[in-house]
Amino acid sequence: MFDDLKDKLSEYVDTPVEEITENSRFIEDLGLNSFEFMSLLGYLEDEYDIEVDENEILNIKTVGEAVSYIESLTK
Amino acid sequence: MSIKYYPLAPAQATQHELAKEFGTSQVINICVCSTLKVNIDFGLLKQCIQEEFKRSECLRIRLTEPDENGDVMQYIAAHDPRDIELADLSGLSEEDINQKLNEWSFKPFSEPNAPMADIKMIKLPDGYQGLYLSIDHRLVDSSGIIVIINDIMELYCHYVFKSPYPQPLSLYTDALVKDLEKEKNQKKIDRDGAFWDEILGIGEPLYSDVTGPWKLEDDRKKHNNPNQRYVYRNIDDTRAGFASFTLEPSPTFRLLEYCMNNNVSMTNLLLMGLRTYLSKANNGQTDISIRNFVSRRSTKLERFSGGSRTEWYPCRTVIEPDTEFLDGIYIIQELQNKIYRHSNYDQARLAKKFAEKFGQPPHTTYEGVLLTYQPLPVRLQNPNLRGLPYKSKWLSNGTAVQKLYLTVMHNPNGGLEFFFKFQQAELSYQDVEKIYYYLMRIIFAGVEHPELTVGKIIDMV
Repeated sequence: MFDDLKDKLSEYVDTPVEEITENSRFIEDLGLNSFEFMSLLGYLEDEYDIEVDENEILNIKTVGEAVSYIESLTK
Repeated sequence: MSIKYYPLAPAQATQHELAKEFGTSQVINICVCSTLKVNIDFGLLKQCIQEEFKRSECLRIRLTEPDENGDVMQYIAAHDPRDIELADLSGLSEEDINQKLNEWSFKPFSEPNAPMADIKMIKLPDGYQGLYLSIDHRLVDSSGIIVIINDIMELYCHYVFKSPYPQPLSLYTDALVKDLEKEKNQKKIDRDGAFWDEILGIGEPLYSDVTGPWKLEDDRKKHNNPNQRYVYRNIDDTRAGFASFTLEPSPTFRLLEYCMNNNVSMTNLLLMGLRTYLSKANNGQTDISIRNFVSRRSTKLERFSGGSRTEWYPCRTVIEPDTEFLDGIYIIQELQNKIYRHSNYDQARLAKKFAEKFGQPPHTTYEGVLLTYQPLPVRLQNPNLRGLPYKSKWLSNGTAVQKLYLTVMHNPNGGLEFFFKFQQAELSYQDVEKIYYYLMRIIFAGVEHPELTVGKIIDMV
């Protein structure tokens, strides 16, 4: 899951994929703006056939938190 | 090599429908004049522009002859070996220059299977030299044009100053194929549709006009419908007026700083400023809708492939006068974030939902203003260009299909440009000047006095 998300993120940001860690913050470290972040969520919903909760996703700040959240929905 | 034909992507189809509605593609010309105060090697610039036609697929889009329904397909011409005209306007008066620019910008790209982009080299008075571009909106949007201008400048800098050769642009057709695939994802369409159903479930929006409530009242009388909440757009007289204002770098920096410190976007600050103005102009109306453009470029492929990706969605908020300005921005931000998540939803589908839910007739609107905030500046990255005086002017195509359309863009000097395009039959330059004046007063009152509520700001300004 983490590797898949990293690969996807490399389509959005200039940060080399090997530098993306679980602690990387979407906005501060990777430079995603709100539209890009929402677009990424749309991809994840399609890819993993999940439906994210709009209030919960606002608390997701890091790649690791996103991975945990998606895994909780796919179980 | 056989030609591959593609249908129009939804954002292109929106523009295509506008051209059909008004009977001419002039209404979707997008034109800009971008010049630097520097002596340009025009022989070299010409080569760079010709090279850009090879690098940028979207500049080579062609549309087929319309079928019996007026629908078209698109394809990419393999080559576009064209000469590039040098237009020397340096000896002309401002009036004559404007006349010449209008002559070019008003010309529609109406021939099927023909180029739909015109790029000229241009010389203006006072030593300003550079580019003029007129392109059909089905090929690019403003972000797409900026990518093209930046790429030409980078090519030029590479050849003159030996700066690195720019990275290849992303392929337009790659982005197009992905967009068309999304159109087949029924599950996603249903999910986005459910979101818009929820938004529409709040109730019918209420029109607010930039000149006050008289417009809606007038329209209600004209159509003998006292409960009407939309107004009929003026589609008969589309003569366009154009007004632009510059916000200097220092106050612009203050706005950017405010956005950064409060974790809000410039788009949402502008939306808050505009909706507060509309509320003021409409006797404190709290239910305000603005049509906001979403550029829909999130991946690198989408950012560097040009194309026309912009869609517009209504931003409808009900904000009470006792709400603090910043809290109002947060209300807008929450809504906009949800809209971003569902921004692949096709305009035609959304319009159909409004018609079904509220009986909204064709050619009507709930929004008195359209807004585009363009965060991508024309870059003067090369050290040899940085600091040079620079002029960028977005030009009218001579028609305005909406009453008022505001585009806000960064200029390379660190300021913000406010471009207002308006219907002359509906608004005057003085009306627009007043709107800009109040917009600035409202925004800076909110930014400088965070404790102020919307109601206080409305009273104060």
